Amino acid sequence: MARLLTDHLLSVLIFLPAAAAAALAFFPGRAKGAIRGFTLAVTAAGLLLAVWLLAAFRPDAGFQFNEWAPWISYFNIHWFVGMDGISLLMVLLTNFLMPVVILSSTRFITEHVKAYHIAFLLLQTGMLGSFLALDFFLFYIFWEVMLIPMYFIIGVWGGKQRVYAAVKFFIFTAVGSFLMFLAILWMVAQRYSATGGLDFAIFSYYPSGLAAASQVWPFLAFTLAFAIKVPMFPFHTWLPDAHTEAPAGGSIILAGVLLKLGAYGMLRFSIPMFPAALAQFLPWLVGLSLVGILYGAWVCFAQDDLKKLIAYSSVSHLGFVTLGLFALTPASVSGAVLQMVNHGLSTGALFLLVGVLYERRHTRMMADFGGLAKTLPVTTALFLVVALSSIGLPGLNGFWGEFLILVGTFQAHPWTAAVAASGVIFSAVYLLTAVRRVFFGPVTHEENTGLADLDLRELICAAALLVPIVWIGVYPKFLLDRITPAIEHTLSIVKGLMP
Amino acid sequence: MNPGILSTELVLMAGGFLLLLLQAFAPRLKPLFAPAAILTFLGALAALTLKPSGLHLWGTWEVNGLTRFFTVFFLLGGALAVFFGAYVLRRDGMERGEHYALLLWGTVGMLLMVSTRHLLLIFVGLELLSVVLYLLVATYRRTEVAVEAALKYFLLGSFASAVTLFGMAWYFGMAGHLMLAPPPPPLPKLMGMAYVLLCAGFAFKMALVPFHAWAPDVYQGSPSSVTPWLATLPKMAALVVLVRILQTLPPPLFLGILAAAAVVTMFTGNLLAFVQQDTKRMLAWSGVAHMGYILIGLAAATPEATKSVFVYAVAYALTTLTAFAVLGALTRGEHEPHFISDLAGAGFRHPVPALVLTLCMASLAGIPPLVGFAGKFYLFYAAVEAGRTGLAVLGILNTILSLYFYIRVIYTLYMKPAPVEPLPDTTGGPYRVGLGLAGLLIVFLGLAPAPLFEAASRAFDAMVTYYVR
Repeated sequence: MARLLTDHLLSVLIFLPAAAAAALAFFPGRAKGAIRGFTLAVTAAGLLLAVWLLAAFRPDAGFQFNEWAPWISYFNIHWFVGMDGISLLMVLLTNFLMPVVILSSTRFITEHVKAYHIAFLLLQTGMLGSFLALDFFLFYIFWEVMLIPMYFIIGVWGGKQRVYAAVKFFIFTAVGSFLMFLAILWMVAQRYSATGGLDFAIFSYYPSGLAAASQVWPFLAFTLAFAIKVPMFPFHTWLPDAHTEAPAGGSIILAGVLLKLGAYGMLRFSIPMFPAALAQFLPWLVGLSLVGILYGAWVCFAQDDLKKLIAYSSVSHLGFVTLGLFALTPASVSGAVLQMVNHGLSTGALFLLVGVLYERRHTRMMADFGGLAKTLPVTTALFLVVALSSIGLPGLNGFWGEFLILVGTFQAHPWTAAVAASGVIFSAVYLLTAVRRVFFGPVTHEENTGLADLDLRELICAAALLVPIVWIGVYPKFLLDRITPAIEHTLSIVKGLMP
Repeated sequence: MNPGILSTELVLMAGGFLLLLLQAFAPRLKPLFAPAAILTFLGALAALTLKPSGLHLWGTWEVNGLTRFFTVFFLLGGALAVFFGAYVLRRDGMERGEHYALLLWGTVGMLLMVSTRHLLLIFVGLELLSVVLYLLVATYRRTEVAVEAALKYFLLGSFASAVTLFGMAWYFGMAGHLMLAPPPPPLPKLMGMAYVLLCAGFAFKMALVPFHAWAPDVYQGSPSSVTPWLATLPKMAALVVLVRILQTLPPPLFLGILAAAAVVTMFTGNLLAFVQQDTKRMLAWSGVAHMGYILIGLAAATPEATKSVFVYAVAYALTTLTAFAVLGALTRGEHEPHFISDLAGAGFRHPVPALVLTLCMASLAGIPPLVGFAGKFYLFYAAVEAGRTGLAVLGILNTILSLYFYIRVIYTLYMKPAPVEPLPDTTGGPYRVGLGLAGLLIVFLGLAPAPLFEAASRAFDAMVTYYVR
């Protein structure tokens, strides 16, 4: 039994939530407490499993915990999963955020509780599978499996414009992924006509071996799918709607993990598979990342809606991530991967605290708040710390990601890095302005006087998020050591082949 | 002659007659009619094992991987249709033995169509099927829309049959026989005309553009006891004949026409499904679009592409049959329209039918891990491998177009507030169990499609072997 578990750690990790979702289907819908407790226990078990993997992970051993078994032998498709440093971080992030999300939803979600938890568990299986799949077909299946639960989370438990936001989210994401699907088929078919063998293993396409001219279309298809997910400017328009309308838990997972899948996909597919096309489009990708950083920040200045502000700040912060990826230096890519985690934690925490405010006042407009520091001192303190981490204050996690990205980018594109650095300043301006408008100044609304501060449950959620925020800020080397070999390996594939 | 070669057909015919007699002389046994019909289908499935492989009856009657593949699906699909139809008929007080007898005989017609290369036999099968379909649509003879649909279907259908028959006559004049076989080169000019006319009747049954106009009206008008069957299995039978005809032709011929027809059919189906208010009509146009995807596979014309077409047809049939069955449950009655907006709020009120309908919509949209995705995966892979990347791109674009109207059903179910008078679930517990099992099958075949791929592969190999002979 123990052997079965240790040999199939990743399978267990991936399917634990799906199995729990299947079990939840048999719970009576009225047993809300039992449903919440069960889901919390399962996600906590998932976190423990992820920590176990972290402990057992050897940084210089490449892909590990691999599992390989025939699945659809007619097409030579396999159940092929494995974990390197990059996927390790993503898995940790996912399984860390899940219990927080479940715990934080207790009061906010009162209708269709069972369906809500089933959706989140299925979503978790999709996310983990996407991060761990090493077979094209498998990856695509998990990638799409995420779509429907998230669509439901936004559309059923969201705000007033939820149906519009959910449909927009669905269509944007699906457009990208269907084109990626075709690109996968095309690459496999090309390989088949060249070698006579069907091969769906992702490694076999490191690099794809296509001629430079024929790399362009599959590269664009993959990159579009991921650029929509990240989202890169100008494919970001679904994000503010989805974030604003989604329930707090949905926003946390959306910002925390789903957006990371776009960046992860770029690092796993676009960059190592198509070096020639990458070189050709690199100026565009770097440029769009830069535009995303600045545009996202500027739009934040104009926001009155706190949730929308955080959504646009995600566009800006993920601009940093893609900038780091496409600068293609070891430092910048490491920074980008670290920043993926950082953004997940900081923005997740911001959405959590906005959710706390929304539960109390049922508004997200900054003008409706003001002077909350007097009534909600703990919330204010936590929000301030998280905002500072998002801005990139040294000593908190955000600093290391942005610092490494900028240093690495400076080596490759000095001027770009210089302009991008202004994005850090802008983020300080809009986030601190928001903090001032919401928490400081005089109390302008009667309703804001009698609010209750964080209860124990909310405090646990927020404090849980603060632990890694501070830990990474103080000691980023622990995580960086784990991702560096994987990043160097990826870059070594690309560097020799780029013209 | 070994009677075993017709075992399946004989069982079905006998079962039909028995039900007809029971209706006339022992109407009290009515509750047993549906189980008897299902048993007949299963008995026919058992009888399939008695069929010896090979060419029989002077080379006109085939028993091989191809006929077995489709026989199995026709029989199982028929049993499923009987099961769902029975509850709808009982709800409306319309249950009669004739309904089941017609379904059994219609299945015989489809088996005739797929089991032979002799055009006359194919035509007999086609007509048997057609007459059954006209009658089935009209079973609710006091429902105006049903009668109107039956009349439309009859007029257009008999016209299409006549054109096909004319094509057969033409073929006979040019070839001197009625067996579908590769014509000796060079192909006479007028022979092309024979093929075009020949294909018309089958294109009509498949609702390919421009032979599609009947589909929305007939699907909408026909009672929910019939639509699941009407919209799916006859298309598969016609597809097999079409594939057989195309297999006899040298590859470059007709490929341009097929590609054009694929594009036109996909776009027409999807664009018109976009604007539908009635769920049944939407599914009818979606069915048109899906036949367009199938034409991509036919235009790709490689062995892999043809196999993928068989898989795709099965995926389409299973999903669409189940979707129409859900509509049979969630309805205000056969006299009322099935507006998409009526489904509002049904998602949490009727969890099982709503979840199954959601699975069907996702499967039709090609979202994994469902059977519709397995079909699209194979089909588009085969098209790309055959070098028809342009067609595959257009196919994907169409899939994207189709997303909107499929997810519209989903969000209406779960995200729109329920109306004052919410839609009832009219057909009861066993029906829900059936729907749930069909939904599980949609998921299962999506997760483990390999047996389906392999069976389709065997079917194709069997089909081409006889031409190599």
